[in-house]
Formats: sequence, C-alpha cells, structure tokens
Amino acid sequence: MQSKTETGKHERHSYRAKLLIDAWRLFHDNLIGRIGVCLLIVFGLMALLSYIPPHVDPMYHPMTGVDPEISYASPPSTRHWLGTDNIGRDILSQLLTGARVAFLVGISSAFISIVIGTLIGIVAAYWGKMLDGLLMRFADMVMVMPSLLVILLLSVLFGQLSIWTIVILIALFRWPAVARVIRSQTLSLKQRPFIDMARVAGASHLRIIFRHILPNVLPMALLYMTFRITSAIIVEAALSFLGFGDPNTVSWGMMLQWVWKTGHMFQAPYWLLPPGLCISFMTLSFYMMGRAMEEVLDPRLRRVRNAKHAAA
Amino acid sequence: MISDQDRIQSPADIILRVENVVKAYEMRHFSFGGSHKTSPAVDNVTIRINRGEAFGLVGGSGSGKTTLARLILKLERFDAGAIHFEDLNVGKLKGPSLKSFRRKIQMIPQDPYQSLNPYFSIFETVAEPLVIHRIGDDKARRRIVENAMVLSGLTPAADYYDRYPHQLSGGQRQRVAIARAVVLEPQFIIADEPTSMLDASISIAVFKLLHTIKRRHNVTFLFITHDLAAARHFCERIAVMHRGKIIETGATEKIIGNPQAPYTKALIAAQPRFVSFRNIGKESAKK
Amino acid sequence: MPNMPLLDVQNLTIVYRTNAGPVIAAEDVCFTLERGRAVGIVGESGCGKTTIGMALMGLLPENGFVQQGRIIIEDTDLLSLTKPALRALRWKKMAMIFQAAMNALNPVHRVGDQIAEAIQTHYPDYSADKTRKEVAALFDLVDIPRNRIDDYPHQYSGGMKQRAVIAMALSCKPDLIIADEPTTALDVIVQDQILKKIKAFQDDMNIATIVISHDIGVVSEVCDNIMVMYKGRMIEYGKCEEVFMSPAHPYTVALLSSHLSLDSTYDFQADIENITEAPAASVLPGACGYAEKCRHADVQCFVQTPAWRHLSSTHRVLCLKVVTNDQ
Repeated sequence: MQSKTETGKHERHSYRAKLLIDAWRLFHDNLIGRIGVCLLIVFGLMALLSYIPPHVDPMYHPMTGVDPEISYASPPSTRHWLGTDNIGRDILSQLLTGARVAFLVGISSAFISIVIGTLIGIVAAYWGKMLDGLLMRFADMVMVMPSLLVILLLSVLFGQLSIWTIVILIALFRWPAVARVIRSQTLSLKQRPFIDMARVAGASHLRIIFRHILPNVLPMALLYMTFRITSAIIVEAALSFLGFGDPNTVSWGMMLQWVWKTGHMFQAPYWLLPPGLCISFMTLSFYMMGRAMEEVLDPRLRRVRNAKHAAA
Repeated sequence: MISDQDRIQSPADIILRVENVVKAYEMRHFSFGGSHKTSPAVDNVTIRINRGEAFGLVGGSGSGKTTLARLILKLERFDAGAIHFEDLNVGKLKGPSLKSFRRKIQMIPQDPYQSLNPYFSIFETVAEPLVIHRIGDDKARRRIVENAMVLSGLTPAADYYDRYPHQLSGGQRQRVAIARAVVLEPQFIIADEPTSMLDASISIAVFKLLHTIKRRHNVTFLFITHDLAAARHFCERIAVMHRGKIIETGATEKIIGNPQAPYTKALIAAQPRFVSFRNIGKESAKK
Repeated sequence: MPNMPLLDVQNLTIVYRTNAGPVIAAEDVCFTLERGRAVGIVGESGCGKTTIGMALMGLLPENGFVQQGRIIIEDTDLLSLTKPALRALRWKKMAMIFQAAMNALNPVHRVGDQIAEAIQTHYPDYSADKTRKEVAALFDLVDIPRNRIDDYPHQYSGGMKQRAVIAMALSCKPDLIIADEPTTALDVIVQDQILKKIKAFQDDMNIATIVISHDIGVVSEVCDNIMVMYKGRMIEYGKCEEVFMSPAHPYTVALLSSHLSLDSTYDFQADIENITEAPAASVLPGACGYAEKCRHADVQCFVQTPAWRHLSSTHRVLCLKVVTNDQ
C-alpha cells in the first residue's frame, strides 16, 4: 500500500516501459512463459542458421542440393546429421529453412490479421450502431467459415498458391476473433473519462482513435498476434501436408507431405519426426508465450503467487 | 462578494443558459421486445449561470447532475430544450463552431485515476489541447504548458514533463487534470466532484487552487458535488438537484440557512456535524 | 467484567514483504476497546488503517505479517491461533464490513441466500427454516423489507447493498465489528442512515465497533475514541471531544482544519499558498513522518524518534513539539 508511492520515486519510466518491465517480471516468475521464450529463441537461431548450409556446400541446399553419392533416404551420418530424404537432400538444412518459413508465414499473416482486426474492431466500437452491427455480422460470417476448407477449395480452383497468397488468405480468415476482442476493449475504453476529456479538448475522431484509443488496445492486439501466429503455422502446415502448399518453398508441412507421399511414413522416423516435432513445439512455444502475456495483461489471471507484485 | 442573485440578471451577464432541458435514456426491455424511454435523467432543467461566479450543482448519486454536465459539454445530445453558451446554441454546434466552443469551456473530471491517458506523459497530456487547437509553436507551447502547470501547483514544472500518470499521487494527477483544463484559458470550467476521490488535506489544496484560478482569471465555475459543505465553501449560488429535477436554486447561504424543499432539508440534516476547536466560538455565539 | 476490555491491541507492527524490501505498514499500534464502544481510525489513504483492520480479522495478504505485538480479543490471543481456529472465530467474534461493499455481494446469488450461507457455515446444526427466520430477522434489523430477501444484488440500491453487507456482518452475532470505509460512495443522506444504524447496534447489542475512514465527519458520528494515523504510525489517540477540541499533533490540526462542514468557515484567501506534495528534506528513519510537511518542525524533528506524551489520562500524542504539564 505504502510502497505504491515509494516505487514511483525511482521508477521514471514511461507507461510503455513500465508495462515492459512488469511483463519481464512476470515472465521471470512464469515458468510457462520462460519455456516458451527459450524454445522460440532456439527456433529463431534455427531460422538464422538456415542461411549457412548452402554456403558450405551446394549439396546442402534444401531444395536443389542433392548429394551426388546418395539417392535414397539415409539415416543420420556425419555427412548429413539428420540424414537425407529419398532423393538425397539434407534433412537438417530443410528443417532449418522450415523454421524460417514458419516464422515468415506465422508472423506476417498474424500481423496482417491483427491490423485488419484491430481497425475493424475500433471502428465498429467507436461509431457503434448500424456500422457496428454490419461489421460484426460480417465478422461472424467470416468466423464461422471453415477456413482450411475454403483455402483448399480456392487452391483447387486457382492451382498452386504461392506462399504469399497463402499468408494473405490465412490473414483474411483470421481477423474476426481479433476484431471482436478489440471491439469490446474499445467499448470499455470509450467509457473511460480520458476519452471524454479528449473530446472536451476538441480532438477529432481520427485523433481520438489513433492517439488515444489505439495505444491502449495495442497490448491486447499483440497478445492476440501470438495466438494468430500459432493458428497460421498450423493452417500452413496442414495445407502443405495435403499438397496445396507452395511447391517452391520448404516448409515443415511440406516435408511431412514428402515423407507421406514417398511411403517413408513408417520406414524413416529420422525423416518424419523432426518436422513433426518442430511444428508441435513451435506452436506450443508461441502458445505458451501468449498464455504468459495474457497473465501480464489481465491481472485477474495472475495467481496468488504473483499477488506480491500487485501489492508492491 | 456577490450577494443575493436570485433576481433575473440582464442577459449580458449570463454566460450559460440551460432552458427546459430534457434527457432520457433508452432502456431496452427484452421482455417487451422494444425499447422505450424511462423516466428522464434530466427532467426539464432550467439554470442560468452568471459570468465570473461559482455555481454549485448539489445532488445525490443518480440525481442527473453529471448527465447535465455532459449535456452542457455536448458529450451527449439532449432530447428537448435549449442550451446557450454566450451567443452559441450548444445543441446546434458542429465542425469549426464546435471546436471553438471547446476552447471556451473545459472540464475537471471526478476520477484522477481514470481521466488521464496512461500512455501520455504529463507534458503531452497538458499540451494535447494546444496541439488539437494548433496554438503556438513548440517553444510557445512549452511556455504555455509551464504556466498552466505552475498555476496548478506542479512546480517545478519541468520535473513533471516526462513523468507518466502512474507515477503520480492522486492529488498530483488531479493537478495535472486542472492544468489541462486551464491551458486553453477557458472562460467556463465544469468541475465534476473534483475532490471526491482525494484525501481531505489534498482536497482542501485543490479547492484553494480552484479558488485561485477563479479569482485571478475570472473563470466561471459550474461545480458539481454531492457535498453541501464543499459547495458552501466554494459557490456563491447553488442549485439542488434530485431525481433529474432542480428543486431549489438560490444564494448558497440562503439555501443552507433557510431550505425550502424537503429534500434540501434532509440533505442538510444528514451532514455530519461535530464540534471542533474551529467552530467552538461560533457554536457558543449561537447559544 | 466491565473493566476488562474486549479488544486489546499491544505494540502491533505489521510489515509487507515487497520487491523493494520490507515496508512497514503499521508500527507500534496500541489501543483497547470495550464492549459497546467505538473507536475511529482516521488517516490518509495508505496510512495503514486498512492494514490494521485486516490484521484484526486475520486476513492480511500473503506477503504481510505481524512482526511483533499482540491482539487479544476477550482472552484469546489471535496471533497464536492456527488458521482453522481463526476461521472459526472470524464472523462469530469479529466481523468486517468491507470497503467497496458493493462488490462484496456475489451477483449470481440471491442476497438472502448469501446471508443464510454465512449463518449455516458457523451454525451447521440450524435447520433451513431456522436459518430463514434468522435472515428475516436480520433484514428487519437493517431495515430492508422482507420481500427483498429473494432479490439479486443488482436489484438493490447502493444503500441497500450496504445494509445487506452489514446484515451479513451481524449474522453470527459478533462482539466486534470492523467497518472499513462503510459509507464511501454513498449519498450523504444514505450515509447518515447507515451510520445511525451502526451506532444503534453498538448501543443496543453491546457490540464494539472500529470505524476506519478517511473522513473525520464519519468517525465523529459514531465513535467515542479516535486514533489518528500518519504513515503507518498512530500519532494521536484520545476521546473524540478531546481530539476535536484540542488537537495536539500538527497533522491532526491540519486534518481537522481541512474538513469542510456547514458550520465552520474556511478562508481560502487568507491561506492561498499551495501545499506542495514533494518532500522538502529527508527524514531519518524512526523520526516523525510528518516533519517534512510540518510548520513547527525543527532539526530535532527530522532526526529524533518522537515519544508519546500524555495530555490527559485518555489523550496522548506522538510529537516532540507538544508541551505537556508533566514535563
């Protein structure tokens, strides 16, 4: 109680910085969050390292590099640490590139869906009435569409989709949940007196939306971004596994499809397991990070263990 | 001091005229399937506020006093009646005329914890109205903001510029809210229970500050409160509001000394009273 | 035994563990309270008054603990009790009317059922019928019409919710009631009714009451004795008349002066200087916490630990500058 004023003395940070510090403290206490972040760092390193193998030897190129001496699926060796696929391509370098693709797909499609969802959510809540009704019914319609099925249909109609088309399609199907959350946040923000004060000061609608509301909903949007990343990675993996991925990139889903298509499902565990595990762990790690962030953002979710931070 | 101002003023002295204003909220009753209006939150209210005075609007929670303030500030639309601020018809304001109206009338909100944007530094908070109204360049703004903050008792002002609301105490936050209200040099300030969330010693300091602002800058105040004692110390005239209606208007001392409406009488009777070293002389004098 | 106090608090010191190290929330608090009497604890937010109430209920947050001192109710030392024993005493011996009572009621249960539950937890042998009668009697006691027993909290007005919470506190017939800001957020008229109600219970049912409030007016309505707190310390204690008529501590004087009432006058013009909230000089640990704001403070105040001075057998003050006869 008393320390509320005490901490104010030496902490001279902006509200954003304070949020970050609080977030770090909670992460520090939160096992799930720590595990998530550690795993993500590992995957990040993998994505960075993916640029190295082709430079070591062209045969390590994940798509075009073929080991001249091996033309069959081979188990791990000193030459190929995780073995090769059925035409002699290095599985490790494919796995590393897969991490890069997963980040690209996950983050960019999540980012797009967050931008769309946040804008629509704020606009719907801010203007309310008819516009709110229209936008939210539209969001409901998109939300209930089976996105994987629709994207499959589209790719059947239009042939092979490029990785960027897939990214955009995933984003277009995944904004409604974000819009709903941001809308409800904005609705409660609209009731907060500081928004009234901005109006009394004469601020225009655009200024209120971008200067006053947006920064306040951004943390929630970022939280939702981690969950969107998870779902985008899964959708892309599923598409690729079913054979509708971008044939010019290596993704983990694509690797699984190759295992399946060439009939190595039960013959080559060294080929099947790495991409499978990577997909699971990467989605898990984003999910864990999201859960930890949720705890940071929503005090009600904090357990008693963390109560001392609230009291302090 | 302004004495009994019950008599009708010449129009030139009146800065705000609220005439027969009605505001009702739509309540949805799902059992009836439709929406209909309930008893009005503001029911046929008429008040006149003179330039330079502090006018108190006293009433319990749910009496409609905050709604009336929101109507005057054009944060909400009213259903019937008219509000005139100087020669502006508040109900019809739009675009540029609304913006210039906003320069003249400002508000000090009730809750200092909710009324400041947590993402704005104190400088940004106080300077925001200047930015909105495109007043001055960076240098001029810095000077205006400093003046407003010094006036509000935030000294040295530079110490506060880069701080954020969460780093300030309730009293300091309320001073920031006051600095933001005076930075545009408005003619009229609506103070909506500005001290109800503050400790007694801090709220007295806030009162002093409002008093200073009123005296030095000839600002007209509409002071909204549930506390008759606070209104008595700050306002020349008060109106008592109950269930959306104004039930009594007049000079403060007259209403407190000789209340007419039963609700006003109950309100005065309910005030906590105790004999302390400050009013002992008075008490004995009465006896 | 009329002389034996119901509650005896001795040298109570409560500390919170925080990230920034231990924070003393209440230091060396001593007072006694007889049945049918009321003491008011006044002070600014954060002065430790709620902490004392929580300690008396045995409800300190997890990171708070009693560093030293004793809390004795009748002949039981609260601090020596185990958690289950404490839980058995709570509500039966001492009950609390919480701050923000509006939120103390569960919105999804009927008000009557919530009070019935409180009764049945402590008197498991009561039949449903008997409990129901008890609830009805409690509703009569706090002037809520009986036909509202089966309503939900949202159907109640603010004042009625507050009464319902008081009814809940009375449900197990406690000896001591701790009311933490019982009327904050209520209208003056409703506040007056609630305070009269609390006063009536104190007189009729011989209940001891502790009223915690930042509003000296609230305390003045109900209490016999008053304790003024500042930054975790008791700084003045005495009968209401004594403290109101001849406040000794400069903080008490300031607190009383800043209370606006219908009788007193406050001259804004005369005293236009602004009270700055920033400290002027640093105070040594142990020295008077008010020294940096005090007009009468000198060097001594900033370095020396103040000691209690007795102005009368019932009135004492913690200030170096107060001159008493016995010196």
